[in-house]
Amino acid sequence: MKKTRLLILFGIILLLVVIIAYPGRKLARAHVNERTAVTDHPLLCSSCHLYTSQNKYVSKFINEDYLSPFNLDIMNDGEKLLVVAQDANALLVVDTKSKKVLKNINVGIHPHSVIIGKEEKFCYVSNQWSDNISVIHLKTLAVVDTIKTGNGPSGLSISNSGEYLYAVNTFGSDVSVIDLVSKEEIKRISTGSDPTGIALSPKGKNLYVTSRRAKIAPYGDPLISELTLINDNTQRLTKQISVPSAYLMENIAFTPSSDLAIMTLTRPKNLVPSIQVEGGWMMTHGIGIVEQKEDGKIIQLLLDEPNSYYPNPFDIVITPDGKKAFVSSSGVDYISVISMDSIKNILASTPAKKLKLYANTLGISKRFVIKRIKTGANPKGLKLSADGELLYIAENLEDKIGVINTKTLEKEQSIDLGGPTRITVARKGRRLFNNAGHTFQNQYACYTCHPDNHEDGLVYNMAGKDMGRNVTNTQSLREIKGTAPFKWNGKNQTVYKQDGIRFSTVLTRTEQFSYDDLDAITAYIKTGIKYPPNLMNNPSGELTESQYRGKKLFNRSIDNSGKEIPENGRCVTCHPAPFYTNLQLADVGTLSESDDPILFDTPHLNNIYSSAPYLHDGRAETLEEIWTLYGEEDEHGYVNDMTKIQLNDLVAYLKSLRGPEYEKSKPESYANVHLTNK
Amino acid sequence: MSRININTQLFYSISLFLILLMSSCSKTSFEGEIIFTQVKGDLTESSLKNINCNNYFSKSSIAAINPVKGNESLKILTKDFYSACAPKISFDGALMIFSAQKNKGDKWQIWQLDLSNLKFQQLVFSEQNCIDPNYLPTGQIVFSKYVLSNAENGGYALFTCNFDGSELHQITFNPHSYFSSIVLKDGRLLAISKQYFPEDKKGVLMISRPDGSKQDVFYKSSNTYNLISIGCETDKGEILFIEQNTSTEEYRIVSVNYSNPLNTRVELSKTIKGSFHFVNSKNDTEFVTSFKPSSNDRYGIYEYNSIKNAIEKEIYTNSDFNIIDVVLVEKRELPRKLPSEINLNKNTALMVCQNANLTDIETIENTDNYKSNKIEFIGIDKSIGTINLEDDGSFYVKMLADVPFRVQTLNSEGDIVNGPSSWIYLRPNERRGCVGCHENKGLVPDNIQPLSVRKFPIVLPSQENKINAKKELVK
Repeated sequence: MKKTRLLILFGIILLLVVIIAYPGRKLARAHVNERTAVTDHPLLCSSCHLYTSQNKYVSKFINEDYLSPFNLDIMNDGEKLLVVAQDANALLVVDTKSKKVLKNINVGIHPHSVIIGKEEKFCYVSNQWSDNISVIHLKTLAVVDTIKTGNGPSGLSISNSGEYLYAVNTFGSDVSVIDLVSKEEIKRISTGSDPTGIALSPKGKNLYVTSRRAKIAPYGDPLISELTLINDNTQRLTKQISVPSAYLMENIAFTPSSDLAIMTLTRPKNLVPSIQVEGGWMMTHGIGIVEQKEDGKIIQLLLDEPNSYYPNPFDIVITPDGKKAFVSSSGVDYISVISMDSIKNILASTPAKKLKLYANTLGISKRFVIKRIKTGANPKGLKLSADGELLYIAENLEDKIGVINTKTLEKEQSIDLGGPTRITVARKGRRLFNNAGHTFQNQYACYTCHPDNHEDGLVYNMAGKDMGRNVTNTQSLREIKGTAPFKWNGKNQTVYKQDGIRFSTVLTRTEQFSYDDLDAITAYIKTGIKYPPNLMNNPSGELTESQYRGKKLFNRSIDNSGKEIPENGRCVTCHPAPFYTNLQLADVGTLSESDDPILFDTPHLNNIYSSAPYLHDGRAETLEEIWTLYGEEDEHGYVNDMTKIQLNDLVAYLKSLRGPEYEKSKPESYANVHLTNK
Repeated sequence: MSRININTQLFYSISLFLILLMSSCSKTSFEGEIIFTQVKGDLTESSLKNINCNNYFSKSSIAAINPVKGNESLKILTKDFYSACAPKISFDGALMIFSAQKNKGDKWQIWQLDLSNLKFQQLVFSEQNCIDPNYLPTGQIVFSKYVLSNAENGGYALFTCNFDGSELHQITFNPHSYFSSIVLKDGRLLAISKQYFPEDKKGVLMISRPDGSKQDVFYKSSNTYNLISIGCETDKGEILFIEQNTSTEEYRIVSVNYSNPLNTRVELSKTIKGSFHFVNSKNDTEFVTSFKPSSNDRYGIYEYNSIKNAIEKEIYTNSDFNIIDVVLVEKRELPRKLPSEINLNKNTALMVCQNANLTDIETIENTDNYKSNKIEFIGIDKSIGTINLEDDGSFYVKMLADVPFRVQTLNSEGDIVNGPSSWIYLRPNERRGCVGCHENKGLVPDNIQPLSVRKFPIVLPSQENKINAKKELVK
């Protein structure tokens, strides 16, 4: 009897082994093939089911808490560095001699920049996802105050008098002027779109604010971004200066003599068919030089070379003697060293027409870049010591501060900030995302078209079959895990397919990701990218009256005349929470003559307020235009019975939508209850 | 019983160990050795008369030498061949590919030698000469093969194929001869390319993807220099090659930087007396070269130091032989495997030009008098068609693939404004863009949507021309 049981047990185990080994393996193979759209991806369950897991216990096990230094400032005596650790929501105080972190000060969420006040009593940290500034006393190294700002504070500057702090509000596209005595915001000044960089001229008076997104315009119109000039004395907007063909103007710096201001920039080729990478047909990267004389021009020069590109230039600093400038090329982990004399020679000796052409000339950098110095992963903010002898580099994905001797132009020993030494799969993916090494000749990284893991607001001619057809609005990559399929035509069922062989054939045009790298970048995209809180339109989760009315319109099934709206005409049918997409393809009457006849993937609507322009080809500059200009036939939801006020309410509600985690089990807001009881 | 089992197991284990030991002993290792081509006597006339390539000599042979052990380690590897030359080593250091004549009077063919067991394998069987083979990172090979063309004489086009000779594809189609091809780290092919029709032109370094698409000039010698051979790309991204100074007849090592090849030429061996025939890098500063100190000497193998700009040491010389190329047996980093947009099931390709009136930085300010409004596409023996330029100077055409053509811009009277250009060809399904005609090589497109791409492409040749072409083909 016992023997029979043993035999039965043995038989069951054997059967299980056979099932797992043969049909199981076959099933797994079929599953992996379907997910990855290739037949040779290794059969590793961990690729998908472990590294992209959002279970908090699993996530804690497979991930690490990195610091991610982003920007920095230094005390006048050069002894202490203040480093913004973006992922740790902290400011690190670093002793430059011992190269040790002295203190870790908790600040707000997703801090962006730090600046030391005039008398070095306080420093100020902009908390981009908290909409405030942390005020830190530099003797006690404690946060002593928090100042409210506009939406998404980033770059900081102190007025010439030392009495005011300027905080650039990236999400609000304005600058908060903060009285440092009362510690209150006293006014806001409009800027270009999505600003971050700010610099005050050494002689005071002129304050420049750079913008990162171009002005929204119909496809085919010239690309223009704005540089905002503010008068420091009057705290008034002096003028908006158009910078043609450029965007992602991240930061700006003045020469000590104030004769020039130089900003970093990217020159995209979104209006040119994306048929090749060779010859700078996708992206170029450089600097914009703003002459400070009357009728001064803005001259753009490329940092790139004919076969090597230096993408995502982020920060720029100029030595106190005005001889050298340093630019962090965050997409290739290099610092480009610029001879300012050479720049001035080029400006002085070149006719204006030719200078204009230089903006499109690769290799002009040979005339002014004197050295390229390799850094750790993803160099971002730069800071020179007061004497200009040392350059400190925030190596964002290395958790280190790089140090360069500006005389010898050699690297010195880096400062290890003490982040985790283990590089997790998602961290590796984040490095890949930010590095251009996987595009032909390093011409662009994922980050270039998806800055801050979002989208760049541009419409590209991806030239699918014929050139000039099927122009495509760049989509955000924030929290897309549950929103498959991907691409406007919904042809990619997974991130694996999205970033697979076709991605390398038509976009990166170099060797495709290795499967290890593909696993890593998928893990990062699916787990590592968060929505910033929608503090602008929905700071607490409580809807305003208008938003609430808009919500009712969004969910309505009866029109204004009491007739039932067909199911496919209701907003909520195709855009249900939590992602506000039913993950299906649809025809909403937006196909144009230049589109191949396809259906479009229903886009998710979380944080939709920050994703203008709208529709697959970016034709709608605002949410309103989706219906006022392009919804005449009620094919994109039944809206034509709505009054203008109702449409405003609907748009107000759409702008209130936040990340999916808020939308899963939405608590009844005060306003909601209040209005319902009425 | 168990004792017998143990003994049996022991016997099998020892046998297996001995077999493995013997098999490993029988493997030949060339790691660290230098392989080279030697030619007996003077370098008189190349055996390839229809190409200006002076690396092919009758009775040449390929040999190997251990630079540490010296002359006694010399091994002739191609004893069974009448002539053999142009060796190249696979990226894993295990194989050698070369061009050879098995017997006197044979055409040059592509062969491979397995360096672990010294077994030969013929990779390409052709009725024409096949020369200058090299390995591709995709597991294929590239080589130059003589092809007849509509143009006079014909020349050496680049071909690729698998190791077994299958998937043989011609990848260059203009009336140029290609030789001395290498693969850069970015995965592209670099070769010396010489136009032979309608007139002979000096060689240039031409770059393309391994499928022949996106071909462009990488480097052009100045008037007083001729390109002789391409050596390699160093770890620092310097491309090494040999140029002949036509006034002094001396051969020099020249480097250009990968990032900016047209503006970074450095003549490395300028102050060294003597002449270089070939160069290969050991590392960033030490190169193994084929060099002769004076015109009375024969080319031997010498080590050259680029920092000191000096010949460091003589590795191998032989008063009877000239050494004409040298390769190192070592593992090398695999270049990138580039994806291909080529679709051989299609027979057309697309080309867009942003502004045909944009010629060069220096002549950018051309006046309306010099503006063209038409562009003509000229084939080997006849015009393919003339089309109007858009108001912004752009054009967008669908062309027959793998057919060489040149373009010239015309004014409204039909007079030539600019051109004809160099030869261009497009691969099937390739999509090519250019900024202007005779554009400055560093010029990138302005971010403007060309008017021409707002319409469908103009098909060339026109239907009428196609019918005529078919008729001719039938004839």
